[in-house]
This record gives sequence, C-alpha cells and structure tokens, in this order.
Amino acid sequence: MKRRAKRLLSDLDQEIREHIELATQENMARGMTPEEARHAALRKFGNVTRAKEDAREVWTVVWLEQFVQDVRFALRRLRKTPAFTAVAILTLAIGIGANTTIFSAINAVLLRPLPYPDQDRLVRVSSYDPKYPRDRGPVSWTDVAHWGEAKQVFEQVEGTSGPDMVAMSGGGSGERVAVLQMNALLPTMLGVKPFLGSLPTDEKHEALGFGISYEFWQRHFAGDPHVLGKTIFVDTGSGPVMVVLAPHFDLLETGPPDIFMFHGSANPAESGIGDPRWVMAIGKLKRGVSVQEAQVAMDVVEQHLAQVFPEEYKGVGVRVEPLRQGLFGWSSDFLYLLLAVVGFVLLIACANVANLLLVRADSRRKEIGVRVALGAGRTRLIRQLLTESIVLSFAGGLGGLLVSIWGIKLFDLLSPNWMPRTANAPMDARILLFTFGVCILTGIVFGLVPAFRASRSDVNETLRGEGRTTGSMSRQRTRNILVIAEVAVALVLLICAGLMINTLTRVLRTNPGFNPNQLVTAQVRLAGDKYIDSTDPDHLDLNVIHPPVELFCRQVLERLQGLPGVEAAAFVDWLPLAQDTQHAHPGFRIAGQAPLLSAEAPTILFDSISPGYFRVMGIPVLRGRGIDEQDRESAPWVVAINESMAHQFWPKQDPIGQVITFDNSPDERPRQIVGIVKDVKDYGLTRESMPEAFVAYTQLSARTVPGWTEARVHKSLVVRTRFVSKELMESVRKTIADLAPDSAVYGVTTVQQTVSSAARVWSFFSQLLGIFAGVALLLAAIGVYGVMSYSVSQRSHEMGLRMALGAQRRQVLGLVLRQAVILSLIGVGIGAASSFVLTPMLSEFLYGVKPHDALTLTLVSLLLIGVTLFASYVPARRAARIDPMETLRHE
Amino acid sequence: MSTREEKKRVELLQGTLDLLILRTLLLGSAHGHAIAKAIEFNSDEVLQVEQGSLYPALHRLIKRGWISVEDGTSENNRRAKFYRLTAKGRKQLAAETSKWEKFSGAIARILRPTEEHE
Repeated sequence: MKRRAKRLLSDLDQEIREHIELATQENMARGMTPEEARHAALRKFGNVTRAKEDAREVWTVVWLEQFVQDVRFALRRLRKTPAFTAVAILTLAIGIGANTTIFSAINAVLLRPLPYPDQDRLVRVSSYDPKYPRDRGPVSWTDVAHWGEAKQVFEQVEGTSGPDMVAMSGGGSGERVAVLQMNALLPTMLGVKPFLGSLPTDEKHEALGFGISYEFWQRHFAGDPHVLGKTIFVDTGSGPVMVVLAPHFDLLETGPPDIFMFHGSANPAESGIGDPRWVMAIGKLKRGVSVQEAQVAMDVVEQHLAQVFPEEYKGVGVRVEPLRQGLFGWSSDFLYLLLAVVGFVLLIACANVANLLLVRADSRRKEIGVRVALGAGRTRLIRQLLTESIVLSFAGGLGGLLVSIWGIKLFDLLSPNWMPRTANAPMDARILLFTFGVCILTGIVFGLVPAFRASRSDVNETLRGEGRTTGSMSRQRTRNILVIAEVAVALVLLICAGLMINTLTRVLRTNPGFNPNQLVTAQVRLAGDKYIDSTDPDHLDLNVIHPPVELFCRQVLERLQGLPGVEAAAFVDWLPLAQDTQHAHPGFRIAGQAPLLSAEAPTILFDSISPGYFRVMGIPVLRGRGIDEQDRESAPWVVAINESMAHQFWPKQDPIGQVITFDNSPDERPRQIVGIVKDVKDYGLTRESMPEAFVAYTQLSARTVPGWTEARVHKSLVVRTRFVSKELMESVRKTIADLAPDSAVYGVTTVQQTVSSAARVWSFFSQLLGIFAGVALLLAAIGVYGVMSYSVSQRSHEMGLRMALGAQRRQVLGLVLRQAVILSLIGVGIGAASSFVLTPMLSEFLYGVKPHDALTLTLVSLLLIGVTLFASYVPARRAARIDPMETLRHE
Repeated sequence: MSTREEKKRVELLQGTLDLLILRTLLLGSAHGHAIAKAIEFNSDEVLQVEQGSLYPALHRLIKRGWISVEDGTSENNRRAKFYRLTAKGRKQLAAETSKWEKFSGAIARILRPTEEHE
C-alpha cells in the first residue's frame, strides 16, 4: 500500500471522530440533550467499522488480503478441532486421491504428448470394416507402401508389428524375447536416434537386419560396448546386431521391446493380394497438413485403390487419426467410465464432509450470530466459510496426491499387461492442474450449502439462544437429503461392482472345455539349426523341420512320465487360453468338393498333439476316436475335429470318414476324419470356440509354409499330477531344459493359473470397481452414522420425554432405526432408478449378466440397507439409553 | 432487522454518491462532514446519505485522482482533512453529469411517456 493511503487510513479514525463531534454539536444547537445529540449523530453516520473497512478496501487488492486473512482464520479454526479436521481431510484425500489416480492413468495413456519431436504430425492410419467403424484393423506391409504414396499429405508412412514373443537362443540358455518387426525408416521418422551403430538404409523388400533396444542391451548384454556385430538367433532368422536404439523407445508403452527386425518397404506397385494384414501403419503428415485434410485425401486414395485392386480394398474404410489416439484410443471408454466411478466416490466424500460441516455450523451458530450482529456482511461470511472449505479440500488434495502415488502403483499392478504402463509417467502439470481444479470444485460443492445455511442465521434468535428446534428441523432435512444422496450414489456404484463381480464369477465358472485341475504346463520353443532351417534350395519360401523335433517330443514325454508324482503327460502346439499364441491357420480342401478360394478360406485352428492329449486335458471325445498311438507316420494320416468344425462344415452330414487336405505344406497328405471332440475355449473364456483340427505329431511333413513354422517348433506340455508342488514344477522345467539346451523353456505354471490369467481383464475391472464401491459403501456408512448420531443428540430431550411418558427402550430404538431405514430406502429407490439409466453403459464389459440384473440389485440393496442399519444401530442404542430422569430434571 | 434495508439504500446510492461529492466540491474544498451536510441540504434532504459510506467514496475518488486531500483546521479548530476537486475530477464531473442527464431523461421518458406527448 502506498504511503499516502496509509496516512489517509490512519487519520480516518480521527476524521470520523471529528465528523461525529461536529454532527453532535449541530444536533445540540438544535436543542437536543448531549446524549440524544450524540446518539442521533452516530445513527446518522451508520456502521463505523464498515466505513473504515470499506475505505481500507479501496486501497487494497481486497480479495487477496481478505483471502489471506480468511485462510489464516480457517487454519486456526481447523487446528482447534483436530478430530473433525482429520476425518474431513482423510475422507477428501481418499475421494480426491481416487480421482487423481484415474486421471493420472488417463493422462498417461490418452493425454500426454508422445515423446517424439514432431509428435503433433504423427498419425496412425488404419483400415476398418465399415460394419465396425470403431475398429482399428491391422494392415499389411503392402497397405503401408500404398498409403506412403500419398505424398500430397504424408512425408512418409511406415509400418510396425506389435510385439511378438519369440525364442532367442545361443549362449547356453534360451530366452523368450519381445520382437517388433518394423520398417527400417520408422525410428528415424519418429525421431528416435541410434545409441550405438546406425540404422539400416531402406532397401526395397529386404530383411535388413537386427536392432536391439537400449534396455535389452543393458539387460542381456550388460551394456557391452562391443555388441555391434554380435549375432542373435531368434525364431527363424539370425543376424548381427546393427544398432542399439536410444533409451525409452517404447512405442506401445507396454514396456520397451527387446529386439527389432528391420524390413525394407514393400513394393507399392504390387496388389498385395494374400499379404496378411497384421501390422499397423504410422504416418508423418507434411508440415501444415491437418489430420482432417489427410483423412479426406486418404478417402480418395482408398477409393482409387479399390478400383485398381478390388479384391483387397473394396469395402474397406481407412482412418487417419492422431497417433496417441490411434494407439490407445481403444482404452478411452473404459478409462472414462472409471473416472465417472471415482467422480461418484468423490461426491459421496463431499456429502460426508458437508454433513460434518453442517453439524459444526450448528455449534458455531452463536459465533456467527455475533459476527453478523457486529456488522459482518453475508457475502463476506459466505466467502469466509467457503475459504475454510477450500482450505480443507486443498489439504485433502495434498493427501489425495499422496494417495494417488500408491494408487497409480496399485492400478499398474492390477492392470493386464496389454494396458499401457501408467506408473512410469511422471506427475506433470496436467495432473496437478486437474487435482487443483477438483479441490476447488470439491471445496465449493461440499462447502456451499453449509455456508449458505450458516450465514442465514437469524441474529436475534441466535443471540437470545433460541431457535433450537425450528432451525435444526430444516438443518436435519438438509442432512437427510445428503444421506439419501449418499446412499443413492453408493447403490449405483455397488450395482456396478456387483455386476462386474457377477461377470467375473461367470467368466471363471465358464467351462473351458477341459479340466484344469492338477495340471502343470510348460512351454518350450525349440531353437537352433538342429531343429529348423530354411535352406531347401528349391523352395526358399519353405522351412524345413528336422527329425530332432519329433525325437525331442518323444523323449520329453517319456522322461516326464517317469517323474515321481506324474500321472500322465502330453503336449499340444499351443495351450488353449495361453497368451501370445501363434497358431497355424491353414486352409483346407474337402475331398470331392471344389477347392476353396484362398480369400474365402475358412479360418480354423490347427494343432498337432501327442496321443494322450485329450485324456490328459480331460477333453471328451464325443464320437469316433481321438488321436492315439497307432497313428504313426506310416499309418494312414488322420485328423480329429472339434464340434464347431463339424457343425460349420458338415452341418447335415456325418463328418467322420470325410477326407480333407490342409494347405500348410506341399507334402500334406489327405487325412480322414476319425473323431469329434468337445469344444474348448481357445482365445478367451467369453469367446466362441473356433473350428479346430487335431493331428498326431508323428503325422507331419518336414517342409512347412512360414506361417506354420512357429507352431511346429513350439510345444505346450501338459502334465497331470497327483499333487501340484513347486518342486514338481521345477523338475518339469529341468527335464525339458536338459533335453533341449539352448531352447527357451518358459511359462511353467499350473493350467488353472493360465485359465485365471485369461480372466484377468474381468478381475481387473472387478477389483477396481470393488475397491471403489467398497470405499463408497464405507463413506456412506460413516455418513449415515454421523447424521443419525447427530439427530439423536438433538432429539435426546424428546426421547427422554417419550420414555418418561412410558415409551419402552425398544420403541425408542425402533424409532431411530425406522428413520434410518426410511432414509436408506429412499436412497435405494433413487439409486435403483438412476442405475437403470447408468448401468447400460457397462454392458460392453459384462458377460452372462444383463445390466439390469434383478438379483444383483436386490443383493446390493439389502447389503446397503443392512450397512446403514448397522451404522445407525450405535446411535439408536445411545438414544435408548437416555435416562428419562435426567431429561425431566432439565425441564 | 434493518440490515437488509440499509443495504438496499447503500446500493441505491453507490453509483451516484461519487457524482454528488464531485458536484459539491465544485463549489470549493470541504471536509467530510461539510460534504455530507451539503449533499443533504442541496437535495432538500431527500437524499439521505449514510454518512459512513462517504469516506470510502472519498478514498475511492482520491485513488482515481479526481480529488486531492490537504490538511486544514475544522470549525472546532481541530486538525481536519479538506478535499478538493482536481482538474481531472472537473472533467470527470462534466462527463458524468451529461451522462447522468441523458440517463435520467431516458428513464423519465419511459416512466411517463404520456406526459411527453401532451
């Protein structure tokens, strides 16, 4: 404040005194007594304090000064009531913490800019079936090349696959590594620099060599500076390491991949017919080109392509969208749903704190009354009370940030591995801003009603100490409304959680089609030239599987069956419900029918198994026979099919005895169908089973098309045990590893565990919703408890009188409980009604249960009413213990 | 209680009080009490200034540079503050007066349209 202002203000007292003095003198001159004259002068002057304050306000940035004052005052007051403050802050910390946690996840997955220099020009280009416009379908290398030709909008378009788990061999022990296949120019386009070595230059159509991630370099090669030129053996290829990429290159944010296989671009002049769609395209827009413009241009390009290559492009839509949205947009539905859920939790927390404030306001009525009498303005009072709430909510917000640090870790821990990692994302300005906003909003939401109520107090009544009953009636009504709202919101959340848990149990109870109990499984990926090579000089596009594969299979079964505690052992290419499977999906021809066109070739699963497989897994053979020992190489080749395959291809005939020929090798022989087995769940517990064919591992040809190779050298062993133990699992692992050193043995676990992992998505949803609904329930219970205790303490007089007039304790107890039940019934009614509108939003996450599930609704309603009853039982008992004599004595 | 009524009156005066002070000071410098009295007197006591609100208004006008303040002595021979119109304040008064006339004229026309036509 300027010096002039300070002087003016300090002289103001004197000035006002002089003013009143002069006025008094004038009044006396008119004939009043000195006392009258002075009173009249004072009356005419009005509120002295306010005049001074107003004058002061002229010179100050008032709101700021008052705000600082109010904050100090609030802190002082809050310190004086530590219990209230602690409960309020804790409640808010939980509510705000939950919100910050979910927002952090949203920020990490959907909002944060990607860590690439020109990230605002990066887009994902995907194709989709117009029937499913929200899908982001995979594309082929040829698609990538075609789209890259659209030079009017793109600088370049490059492709990358998702991470494939493959075996890496060499150095004594095998390892499963995550391999990305990508165009060699992709890292440069993204602005990712080599850490060591240099990226290969683009050569059309060539496999260009290997790169490794910085993290893999550290982990596997211990940061060896001479790593360049060392040969890595993975999958079907091998080659020297050409480049170590810069740290943190993690395009899909599921953890940095290990190895990059670089490809040259495909030839855009080719039709791409038969080129499988399994990669994603990432483009960089030209400077100044917007995503919308690119979309318009790509629509034209796609129309043109559909004319030139109708077989590949007819009826395929193309979408251009910002890269982050393109990569992670699929998770937004689910994440925003969670945000809504925690929003509800925060609402309940707000209602609770508002309740506390109302109770506190009652005990402060006298103080506020006095301040109003001394000339405090109503807006000023409201502002002050609101400041107090906001101070509270900021304290809660700070606590919330702490809670969210744990929350994010928990979220990451619970989330399935295909969710982008959220824990690594640093806390940034966006999260702080969000939390700040939530704090202000929260403070206003829970503070406004109590502030208004408090400031409306009637000065006269308050000072006279009256208005107890009338005032508290309407206050009680406000509190009741808050409780009803809490119960309603809690019910909605409980229904959501209930539906999710219901879904989870149904998913877990889904019959996978086999008996997972007492089964141990282990995965092995045979690696090395001994097993496989691609050196057939006549057919470079075929791989050759060598006899040691079959030998290994036979030996491993013998040895495993010899282990103590093992009842039987068998294997299949890929265990049903396992992750990252790379099944062969051959086409086939039915003898006596026209060959199926490759475009229309039916997709089926193809597995080779050992004779005991169906028995060990407990898969029933419905008709005919399974695969057994007699199916040797020299015997006629046979196949067993599952129900789905039988229904799909032989809806009216008996498939047994039919002959089919698969196209996964030029040496395939016609196979006779000898049996039908029951369906098993392959790709997910909630998915329909696919048609599947099983053949004996002894009846396979050496030469295979590349698409089948991975399945040929991968085996999922299943071991039926008398008793599952750690030791047994270890000896299974060791047995396999001894037989195939250098190969990758992994995934040694129980089959039951594999089944649970397949339900991981649902357990993730159920756990999150369960946690939030639990918090909501707890908060609602606290709210009910608070309101009922306060109501009882307010009515203790009335209760005493009732008992003095002959009411039984039991009746008083009933009176209080009845009130609680009525409140929670109204809340349940409102909650149930709102859930009818809200729960359908969940339906895409549900399985086997309708969004309006009467049983869930009934159960959670009963639970909620039970909890509210329990919460009000304590205050009710207190009411019943009131001593009527005490009351009468006070009368 | 009367708090609510008082508030209404202050609000009614808020905008015009500044103008009235400036007008009063056009006649020469004066101290607070004299200004209050002059306003009351000149309006035939229709306008009752809540005298307390005069001082914040004076401070406001000083801050805007429309009036200045100097020390002097009151009728009682005590130290007092005398307020004086500045050149800037004079201009402001002229502008505000014409604005006020337009405004009150317009309000009058709306409220008594028939009289205008007669």
